[in-house]
Amino acid sequence: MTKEDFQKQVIPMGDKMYRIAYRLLGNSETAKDALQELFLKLWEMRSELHKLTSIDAFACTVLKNKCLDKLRLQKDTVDIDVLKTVGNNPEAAFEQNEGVAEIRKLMQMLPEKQRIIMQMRDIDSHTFEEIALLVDTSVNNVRVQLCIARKWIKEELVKIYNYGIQRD
Amino acid sequence: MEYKEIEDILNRYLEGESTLEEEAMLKEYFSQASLPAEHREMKDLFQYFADANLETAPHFDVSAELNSVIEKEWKKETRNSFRRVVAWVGSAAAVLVLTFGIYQYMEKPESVIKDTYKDPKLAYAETKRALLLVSRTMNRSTTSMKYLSKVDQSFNHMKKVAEIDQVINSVKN
Repeated sequence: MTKEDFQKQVIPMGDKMYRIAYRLLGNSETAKDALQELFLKLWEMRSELHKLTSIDAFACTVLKNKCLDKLRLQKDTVDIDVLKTVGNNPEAAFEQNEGVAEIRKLMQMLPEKQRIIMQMRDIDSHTFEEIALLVDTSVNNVRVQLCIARKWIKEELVKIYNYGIQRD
Repeated sequence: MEYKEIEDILNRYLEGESTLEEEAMLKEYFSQASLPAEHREMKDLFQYFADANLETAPHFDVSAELNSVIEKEWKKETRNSFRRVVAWVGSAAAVLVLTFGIYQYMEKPESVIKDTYKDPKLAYAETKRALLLVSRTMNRSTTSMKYLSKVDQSFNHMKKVAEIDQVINSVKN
């Protein structure tokens, strides 16, 4: 793969890959580092990339491993469960829309795996295959987890709104 | 878009069976300002997704950043490969010179006597011719040597002067 091919075919995946890294790491600086490492690795392998059935899937796997390495490193040094901090954006605490603020809280109450799957699908618009690859599960399980999470959020929201209406 | 269609997609959405395209349609539909009151929670949910999508968006130009990383690597590689070529050509030349030297050293011509003529008569004639050439040259040189005898003659005349010297000595005594 020439430099031009690489710039045309591989570089455009950057935005999506950044979102995955950010989703897994919960930190934009570390996500940027992981992204650069991923693309350096892809660049080094550019002569072999055409042999892959899906550069996308390969990039996802490499990126996931890089993120896991970084998480392990962070856990050793900072000793916090970084995954749990994802989505805890203090700036977003001031929400104009009350409903949206409620959803933010509900998302944090979801089991970790369900939350990540729902964020990757509904916020980041990744395919089921990519999500399955990233959270180490089957496509079918991704659908099942997504179904449970979406229905739970909807029901909880309806409850909150109904309670609100009754209280008025 | 028909409301019925949206209901359909929404049901599939909740079952985890909608496609990305259908979900994009939902996102667009629920971003409208005026909507029927039924799905207030869905409107908020999709509003949350849109907000969160903006929050997770990269805060830098991803393509520009990655292109500059690759451009830097590319320069590094071409510089290194040029150096490699120079080093390679240099060492190849050195090896070539060394091999040639060794070859020259090993292949010193040995003095082997070989028959140059097949016909002995011809060989004889040729040898004679060569010897004649040598003798002729030699003769030419010796003729010029004849003049040396004239020097000898002069010395003989000088002997008489020595005799006069002897006579003078005897007179002295």
